[in-house]
Amino acid sequence: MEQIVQFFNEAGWLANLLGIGGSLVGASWFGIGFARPRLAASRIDKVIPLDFERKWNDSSAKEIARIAIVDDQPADFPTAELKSDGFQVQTYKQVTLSKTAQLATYDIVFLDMKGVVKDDPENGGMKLIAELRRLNPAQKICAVSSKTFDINATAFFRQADDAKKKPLTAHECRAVIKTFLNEQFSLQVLRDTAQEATKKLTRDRRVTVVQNLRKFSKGELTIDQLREVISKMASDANLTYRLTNIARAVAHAG
Amino acid sequence: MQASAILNSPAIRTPWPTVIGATVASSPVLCVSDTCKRRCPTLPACSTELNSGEHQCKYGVTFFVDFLHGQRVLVYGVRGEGNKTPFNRYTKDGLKGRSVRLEQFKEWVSSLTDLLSRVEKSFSERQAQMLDPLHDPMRLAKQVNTIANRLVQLHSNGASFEQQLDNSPFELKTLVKASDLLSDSFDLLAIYFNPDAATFGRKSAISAHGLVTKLIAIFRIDDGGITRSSARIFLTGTCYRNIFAHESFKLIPFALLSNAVKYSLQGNIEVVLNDRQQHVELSVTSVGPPIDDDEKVHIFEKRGRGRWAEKLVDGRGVGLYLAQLIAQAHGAHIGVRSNRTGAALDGMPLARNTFSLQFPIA
Repeated sequence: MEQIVQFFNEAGWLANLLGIGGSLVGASWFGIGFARPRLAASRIDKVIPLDFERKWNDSSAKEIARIAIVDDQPADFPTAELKSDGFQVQTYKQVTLSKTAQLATYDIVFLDMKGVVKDDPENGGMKLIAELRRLNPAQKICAVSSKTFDINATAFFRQADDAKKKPLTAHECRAVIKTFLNEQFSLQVLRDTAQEATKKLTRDRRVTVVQNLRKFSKGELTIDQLREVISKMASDANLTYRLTNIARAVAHAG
Repeated sequence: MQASAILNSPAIRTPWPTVIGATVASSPVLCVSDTCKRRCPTLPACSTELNSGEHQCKYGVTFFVDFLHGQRVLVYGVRGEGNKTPFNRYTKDGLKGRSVRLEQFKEWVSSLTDLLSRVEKSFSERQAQMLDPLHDPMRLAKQVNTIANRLVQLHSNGASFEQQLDNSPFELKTLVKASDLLSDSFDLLAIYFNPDAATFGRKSAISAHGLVTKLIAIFRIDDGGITRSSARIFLTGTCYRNIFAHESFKLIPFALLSNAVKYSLQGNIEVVLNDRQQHVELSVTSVGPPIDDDEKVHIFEKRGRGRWAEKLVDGRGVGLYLAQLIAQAHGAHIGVRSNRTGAALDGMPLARNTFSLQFPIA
């Protein structure tokens, strides 16, 4: 120890400054260089590229969103107009309860209450909406039924994100879809989702999520495979679908 | 359904002396105790107690209180487990053979709750079945209304919808008015049968001025006497703010205007819409039958109508009830002022009636 003290005493002040300061700067630079990739590997918000804001807008969301209309009277919807607007719309006159999981993968569902479920035409809509809510809480559902007068239908309308009377005009449909897409795919929502996931998930899980989000963006994973992996990591259906939305948006913005 | 309606039926005998709400149930299985008959000959003194559970009155007799679908249930003149009143020649007749445990009372109330729930469920199912035929007419009414509005936009000139409507041919104007009234009436009907419908769907920004202007334009249309119309509706005031409300909100000005058109007997109908600091204020004033002070709550009740109004025109007492219901669902309130003008028409005194809505800005 005395030898070290003597060494510094014998050296000039400039030599000491350069020697100690240089060592500290070098160590810091090395430390940051080592830590940065490790930190980035677990930061979900880093999946969203810096130029994403420039590339992402309302019409981008329109291009990736999948919309389902589940109604035994499809003529009550301006499907042709929505398709010509560029929306991806799929119409179902009737579904079976066993197909609910497939329906849960849509971003937006316009759902009628009566006559839409083959297995249970009377109360199927009520069962269907509850199941969709359970499977994909991030999905936006617009209840479309004229049965507002029925007190037994209250639970159906209450579970939906919005309710509209049929027949819907193109103007009404566009307004509903625009609001829903903004709540699912706006830049702020995507960033908030990334932050929420960063807080909720452990580092190991975040690393896996980031890796798989990047894989999906490169086309190395299908959407179903990605959802399966994230579902295991997040253990939360709502967060799973919202994280998947980040990957879909980033991949689309390219 | 009210619990008292079931328990007062001769088909049902209560096991113990019972009061439901303010009504004493007739012919209980266990007759009223001598102590109660002697001390409280008309209504048991304990019928003012509001706390649930077992209690003892000052005459040494037990009573139980609970609530059944919001109505108070009182079982009185019995001897509970907590009753330590000693038997003597004064209390013997009022207590002997009258033991009831709190658990027994609760089980009975629970079974009544179950019975009422079943009756209500059955009633609502029956009501839903009866109303089911409304499903298609409601759809069609909206469709006709949408098409009528579209025809106005396609075939008439004007900078706003109101101007386009004004420039439309008589038949088209009539179609717009009839379809609009029909569609809104169906919406009111839906809320009448299911008050929860007032808050279905999400709230959205609505231009109060735009909404009221359009409604006035529709009410002004003279359809040749098919529906009541009034070209004497005038809108004043300044309102630039949007309100944040459910779709049902539009039915409030609809109901208030409808009411004014129906009962206006003299002069103009004045509609005033103003921005205030914390709310948007809408008032509709017309001269018509007076509304006495004791009627100012009643006219907003289901099927409630004013005395003078009843003499004037046929009505159901539904519009103002629903308007108030929707206002309350939005955290708002409709108030009424009625000042007699001193004039009379065909023996009916006239009053200047103002219905005002203060809608909070979130």
